[in-house]
Amino acid sequence: MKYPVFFVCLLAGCSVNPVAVENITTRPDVATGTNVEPAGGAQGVRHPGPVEPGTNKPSAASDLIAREAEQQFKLGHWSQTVQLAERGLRIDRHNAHLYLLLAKTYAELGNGERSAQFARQGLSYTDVRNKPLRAELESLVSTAPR
Amino acid sequence: MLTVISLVIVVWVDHIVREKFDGKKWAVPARVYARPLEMYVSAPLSQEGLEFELRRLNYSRVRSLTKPGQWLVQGDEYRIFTRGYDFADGAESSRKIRVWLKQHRIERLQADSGGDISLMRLEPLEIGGIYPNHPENRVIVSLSKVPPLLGETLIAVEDRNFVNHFGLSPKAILRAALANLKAGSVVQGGSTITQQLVKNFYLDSRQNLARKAIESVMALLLEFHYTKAEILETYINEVYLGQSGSQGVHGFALAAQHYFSKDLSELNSADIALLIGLVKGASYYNPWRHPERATSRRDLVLKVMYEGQLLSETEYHRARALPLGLVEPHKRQRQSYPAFLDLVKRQLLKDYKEEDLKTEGLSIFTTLDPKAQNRAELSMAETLGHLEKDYKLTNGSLEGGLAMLSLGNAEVLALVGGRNAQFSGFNRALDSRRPIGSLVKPAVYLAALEKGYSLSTLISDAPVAVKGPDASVWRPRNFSRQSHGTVPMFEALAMSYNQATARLGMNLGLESVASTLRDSGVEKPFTVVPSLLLGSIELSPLDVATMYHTFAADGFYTKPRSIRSVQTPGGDTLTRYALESERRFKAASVYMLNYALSLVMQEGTGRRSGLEGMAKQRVTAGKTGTTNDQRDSWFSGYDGDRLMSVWLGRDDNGTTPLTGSSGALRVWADVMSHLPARSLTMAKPLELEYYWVDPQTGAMSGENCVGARRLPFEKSQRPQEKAHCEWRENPVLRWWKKVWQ
Repeated sequence: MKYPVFFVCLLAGCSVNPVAVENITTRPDVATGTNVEPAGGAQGVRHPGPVEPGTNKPSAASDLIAREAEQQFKLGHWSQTVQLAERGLRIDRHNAHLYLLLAKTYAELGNGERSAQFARQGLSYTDVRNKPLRAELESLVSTAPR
Repeated sequence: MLTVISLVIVVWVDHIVREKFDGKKWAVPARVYARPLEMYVSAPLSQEGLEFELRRLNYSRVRSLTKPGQWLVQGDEYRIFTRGYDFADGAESSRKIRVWLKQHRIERLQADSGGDISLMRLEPLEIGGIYPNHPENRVIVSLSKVPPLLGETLIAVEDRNFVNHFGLSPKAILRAALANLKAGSVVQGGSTITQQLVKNFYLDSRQNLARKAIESVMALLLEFHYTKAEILETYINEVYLGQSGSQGVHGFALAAQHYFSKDLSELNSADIALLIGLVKGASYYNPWRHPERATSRRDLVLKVMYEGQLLSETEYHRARALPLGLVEPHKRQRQSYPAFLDLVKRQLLKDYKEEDLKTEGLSIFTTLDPKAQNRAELSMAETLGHLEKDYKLTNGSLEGGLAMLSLGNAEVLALVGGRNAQFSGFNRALDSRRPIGSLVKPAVYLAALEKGYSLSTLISDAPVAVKGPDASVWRPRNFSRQSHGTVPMFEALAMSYNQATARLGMNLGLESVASTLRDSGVEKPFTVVPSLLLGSIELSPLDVATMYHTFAADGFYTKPRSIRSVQTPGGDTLTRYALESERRFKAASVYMLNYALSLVMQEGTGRRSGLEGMAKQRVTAGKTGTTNDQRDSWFSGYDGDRLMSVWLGRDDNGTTPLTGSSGALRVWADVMSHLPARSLTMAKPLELEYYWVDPQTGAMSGENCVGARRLPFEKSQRPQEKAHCEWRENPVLRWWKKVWQ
């Protein structure tokens, strides 16, 4: 008996045991919408997300900029790197690689606090499976001045 | 003795000549530019948006592309001959491109010669300047940028012997003297270009023998010290060519913009002839006031050009047949965004002296999006007009202000200071301070989420009374005057319940809410009293936008910026205003808040008729705000690209019939629905997961249970209780359906 119940609940999504109906707090129906600022019902609801970090396909344009910025970083052109990274983020604000470049550049410029902030932001947008990128960003967060 | 005196005078004059010529020749106002339009495949861009941008940049619509500054459209394909621009982070070359737009996006972007273009940008639009008080304006241009035809025609018309003389032309002086003697007054000038320059640059317009003598000496000295090229370049930038309001139009570069809205390089031979004709008398030959006089003067110059073999016979006849080609009078006004420029100036004055901004010829690169600004101005004016009509209000009684930020970097894209956006009076977007009403509620709920509450936590919406320090009692009421029992947090926020919010805020502690407000970017001081929980705090639209940007940008605070960089006339960057951001809230808390704010738009107070189309097109989040007696109507909301905060009300703080939904939201929706954008997407923090819950109990439920909702939770905060499940349909049947779908 245990397995059929488990199976049914698995399908239904009812991963919990039912509770008594009388335990539910009763309250006036809010669906009328007459007692609030003008509002509507609940049909066709669309929500932002969930989007797993780093799983959105990055824009080709922002990737191109990231590659250019990387080149500038390697040449030690800090100002160019920052400008390009900012330009790329205007196109795709979730591009974690661009945050990494900002974080690395500010670390080179001796601005550890700003570097850590960008590294934190980059981590927010990094796929959990992208371990090398996460590791690099995490090390920049950890080296920030306390 | 006479020789000594003469020598002293010459030395003194020589000093004056060199000091001014070698030093800063002119006070040149700072020029302010909008952001350049970025173009890449998938970039949000409508046909209307692209054509708007091209028109504002004064690109001409033509049948075939022959030179930079032109465009045409064939079916769904745009072809543009771009002008190119030297950006601080790299040059954009002038080239022919092809753009295909589909569903408000760039679908393909190619060079005319074939080959995809990954990324490019158009030149930035000049939107204004920071002008000095003295009545001169000019755009400085180097001789190398002056079309050869212009320089050659100028010499042919004004001073044929310019290349050979030493500053004076005895032959020309003799000819003029004879003509003047004959007429009994001064009817002809014998001045060389060098003498004209001396007169305009060093002297005033008075004419007598002594001044003529000094003018001659100065002309000789100029020729002695400087090359012909230097003299000609200075002349081209100095010469008076017209009047724009209270300011004189000096130099050919500004004149080309003033009369034709063109760059010097885009002038045709007829345009050049007209401008050179104006040297003789810009007022007398004013082409708008005296078109016939100006045409005959232009044609005379064209004849000189033809006779001097500067034009072929065909080109001469073609140019003569052309109309004057002046810019239409209503387009003559330079772009004017007083509210935005006000913000730019305030930000600049923190780093620069006002005098430098007015005289050093700096280039200020700003964040303004001209299309968004234009739409915002239009929507504000139109919607206020409609609202006054719908509610039978006195015409002009409503006012408004709004601030729009780019999501992620908080760049100010648009700013509207009032319904008459061209009027540079009270800047409501920055300076009005009005209670924000329910716009404060996200801060209350965020404070709760930071303290471990979840979206399904039940809170009471029963009447609440709070004792004040002076024994007064604050009894907030719901907008509808009704209570709703116990409600989950997401619903209390979506439906904007006052009683539930006040109770929640008091439970959290006022200081906790105040600190959340400060962390979200509120810098203005405010009083921490219970009514703060329902928005007694007074802020401007830009303050509100700053605060909401922190929510929209996943809890990272970024100070709004209206300037990207400041450059010298030589193109060196003086200041860069770099992006800065700082995490202020836990990622999971902000994610849950944004989720609830998206519910506001879908099923709460932000849902209103007329927005269905936009709701289908993209996901948005936001919050309405209405203050006591409906004195203020607020809305702040965002999609995937932009955030905008709108205030509507009356300047005398009078009551209105508007709620946040019926007033400010209408302006917001009108602006946002006209601007292509992406849906709001949020990166789900690792510590967050979605669970099905029963909203009536806040307990865990299942997908197939009646009334269950899927909500985001911090994994550690997931409900432990389990709700009774009444199946919506047989789960096996549902599973079967899913398999075959």
